[in-house]
Amino acid sequence: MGSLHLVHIKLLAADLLSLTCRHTSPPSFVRCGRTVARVEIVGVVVSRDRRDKFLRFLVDDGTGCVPCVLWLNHQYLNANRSSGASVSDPTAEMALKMSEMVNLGGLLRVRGRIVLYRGAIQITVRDVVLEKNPNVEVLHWLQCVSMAKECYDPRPPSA
Amino acid sequence: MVACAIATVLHCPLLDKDDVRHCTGPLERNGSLPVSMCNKLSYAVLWYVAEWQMASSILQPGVPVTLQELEPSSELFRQGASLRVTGILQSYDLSSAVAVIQDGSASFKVDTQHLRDISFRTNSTYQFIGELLIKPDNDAILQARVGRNVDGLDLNLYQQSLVIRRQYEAKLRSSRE
Repeated sequence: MGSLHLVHIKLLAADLLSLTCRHTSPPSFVRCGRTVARVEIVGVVVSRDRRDKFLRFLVDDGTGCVPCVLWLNHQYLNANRSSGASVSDPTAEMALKMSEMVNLGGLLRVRGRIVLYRGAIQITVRDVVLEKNPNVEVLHWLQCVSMAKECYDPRPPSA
Repeated sequence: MVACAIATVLHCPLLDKDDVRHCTGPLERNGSLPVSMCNKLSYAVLWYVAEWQMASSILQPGVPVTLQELEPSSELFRQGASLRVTGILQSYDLSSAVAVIQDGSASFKVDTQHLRDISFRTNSTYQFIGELLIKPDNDAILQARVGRNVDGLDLNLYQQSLVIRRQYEAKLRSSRE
């Protein structure tokens, strides 16, 4: 398998932000010949911009700042779909809860899909975990290095 | 005139709403948009451009360093460098909001005036991200943007892992060249 697109792969920001973008529709991302679609990063929130329909924030892991967007527009999407009665949407509730975890200076684990926005890589957030133990960041660094060596770097066998 | 002078002194770009407004001239002349809408449109374009500039150009990653590395001979020791420092709080001055952190024999000053929601306890471990301000006598202070308590962090493991991470980053850089 030359593809890593089914899993959230652990990457340092510098690695993520230097993925090769293939201008397909939608754009796809390649690292050492393997397609990468989902990513997991760990870092500190250094910027937070809450809008009506989304929360945009930057995660700094010391190798780069990764722009992340958490969509909070479920009510608009649901309004278009349903014909009236307001039903609580668990996805919307979860997104709202996650947005409350994103605070300046907090250590976050963010997982999501890699997208291209205005020519730059960003993460469309799937889930966010507020990490209380500072050592998990160190563990993440080592896991990124180890996974790159063992798994991501070796070229996939040619078909 | 004032905006122009400020931009010159601060070496920052100047965005002028009237530059956008000039471009809306044809829309106004052929009656596509009334004058008031042209003005609103010009401001809307200006805010979008300014917002994007602010979001994309300012923040550099805070490169993790040990306090021992923050000496004038180090390549990391340069004016305005974005850094992440970690150490045990030795003292905190309430009036100046300056914290002094220590790691082994090295200590370092951190200006925390922009931080909120953080309480300082001596002998607790803290981590700060911000920009280095070096004064003429080589006295340096980190102007912190964010900070947090990292009690429980294994500093020894942190520093050893930092070495491994830097080797990996160097390999990444060389593979891109």
